[in-house]
Amino acid sequence: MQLAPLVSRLKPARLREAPLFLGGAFAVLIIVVLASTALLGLSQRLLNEIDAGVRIQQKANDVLVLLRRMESGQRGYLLTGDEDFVSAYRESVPIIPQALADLNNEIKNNPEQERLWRELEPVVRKKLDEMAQTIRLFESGDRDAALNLVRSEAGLRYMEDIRRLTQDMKDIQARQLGEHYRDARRQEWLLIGVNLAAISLIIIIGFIAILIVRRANTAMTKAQTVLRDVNAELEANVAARTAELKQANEEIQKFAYIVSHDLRSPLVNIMGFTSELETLKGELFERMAALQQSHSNGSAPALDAPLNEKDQVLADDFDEALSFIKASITKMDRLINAVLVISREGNRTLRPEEVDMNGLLTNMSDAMAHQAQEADARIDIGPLPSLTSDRLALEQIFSNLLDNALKYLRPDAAGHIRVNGRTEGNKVVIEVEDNGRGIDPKDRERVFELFRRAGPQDKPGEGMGLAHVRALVRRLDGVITVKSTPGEGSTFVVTLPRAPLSSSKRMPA
Amino acid sequence: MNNAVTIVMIEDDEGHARLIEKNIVRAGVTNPIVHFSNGSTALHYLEQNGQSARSLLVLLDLNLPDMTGIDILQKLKNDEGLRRAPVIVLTTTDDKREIERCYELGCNVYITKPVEYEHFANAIRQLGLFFSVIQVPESA
Repeated sequence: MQLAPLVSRLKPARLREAPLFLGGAFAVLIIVVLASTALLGLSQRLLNEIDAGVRIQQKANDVLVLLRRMESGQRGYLLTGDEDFVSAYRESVPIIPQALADLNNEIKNNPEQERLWRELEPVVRKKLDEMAQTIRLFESGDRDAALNLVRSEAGLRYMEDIRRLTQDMKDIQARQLGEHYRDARRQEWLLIGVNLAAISLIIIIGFIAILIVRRANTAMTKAQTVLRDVNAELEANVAARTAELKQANEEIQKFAYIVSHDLRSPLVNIMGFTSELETLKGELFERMAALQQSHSNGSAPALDAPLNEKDQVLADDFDEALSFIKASITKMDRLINAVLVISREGNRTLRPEEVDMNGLLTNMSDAMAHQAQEADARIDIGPLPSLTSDRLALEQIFSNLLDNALKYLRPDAAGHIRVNGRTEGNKVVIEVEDNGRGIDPKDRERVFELFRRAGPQDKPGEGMGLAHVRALVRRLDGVITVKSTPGEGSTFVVTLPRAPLSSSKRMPA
Repeated sequence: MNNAVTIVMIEDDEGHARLIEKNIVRAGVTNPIVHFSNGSTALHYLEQNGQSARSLLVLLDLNLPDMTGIDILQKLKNDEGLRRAPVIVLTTTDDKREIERCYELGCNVYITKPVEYEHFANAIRQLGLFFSVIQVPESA
């Protein structure tokens, strides 16, 4: 299964717009709430206006009723001269300015009414004057003059005007009230509409939100399934690869083992017969010398006779050739043994245990004290973290590194070897630092290769120590690197897991 | 060692066989040595002579062309007539498990052929010394 299409399937295009959608929904809700509030405010104002209209009608009526009462009081008094009638008039005289002021107050900001008011007010004054005049005339005893004034019908006309004007005011108000009620009803409907729209919107938004959440869940479940599949696939792949690697490694191990054994067999012959040849050569030259001696002086051949010069050269050539052959065989034997050791190490089962690195390295440096003294070197073991790993492998790794450090010191400076350690996460880093001859940059990878060595070849060795060390470090799931300045020293950095990656496994070398 | 004992050498490498023979002789062992370079003819010989009056001592190499020395060892130790014949495994393999297996199957001595001839010769001479003291049972 390929990863790319799987991952693209995980891309929920719609889901990415979800926050945008929810933000929009929220904005719509806020607008609906604001609109409702505004509409409620408008309704409130309308209600106030309706209230004001009703008050204008009342006040206009009040003025009319008051004037009617005064007029009837005046008429009654003029007819009968009864003081009871005039008292009704007199009581009203101080009240009428207030009633007028109230009406004037109510109609402010209402241009139509104000126009009527401007007509009404002088008529009311005239009516009040007329009534006041008739009563004054009557009280001064001029009853006829008073009655004449009444008969002139001026008062009647005034009253008729007032009635008409107040009726107009009431009519206007009634009309305006009707409009206001209509407006109010419209606003009510609007409010209901807006609220219904809001409720529908909320339901729709909720529905869509549920859809989005469901889709997100479905996408998530799908993603999880895909992820699980990918993981399973990956694990299967890793397991398969590991098995393949293990098999390949085992084959290499077996190959190295068989090759080294089969190489050894002919080597035994070469060495054996070379030695046999050497013995033969000795016997041959002995007999040659004896024969020569007996030939020259006629005596019996003696076994301890010296060779003549020419034969001695021959014998020496023989020895030289044989010694080269034997040295080469010995070297080849050592190399084959080195391969065997490494291949055998790869087959060994690791036994991880808690290892006190301080103790391990201190013991090691104590054991090397004599060697260090001879090399004029000092070994310092810094505080080291402990780890869980194969003790034997660790011993081999660090004894090889210490051994190398002692081996490749500079003759002109006292050797100083330091072992430092630290913990980095779940890894342990141990550094073996020396002030020796160092390694040329071009040789830094080579030194880890089998049978390869760097620098002047003045020390014995097969070139297998570091190859073995790297194989061991890798088997412990670690890494080894080298930092070095030629002529100043080298630092080998070994990074190992603090505990085995998985317990008791056989790792390839 | 009783001169009636025959040394049966099963060794596919002619050179090795020659070197072994030479050194056995040098050690002063005069018993007859019969050499086989493959497993099947060696087994055939052993089966034939196991019943005869001659006592046998087997020198066995583990790497043979037609079978492994282990197979031969197993057959010998399972054979009523040959079971008591001493078997000396003489081979290049120095694998611990191989050595253990040979002893488990009943081999008497296990010797690794060293490349260093001095050691090789020495080992064979010691073996010769061993031959001179070992008591080989008369075959049935």
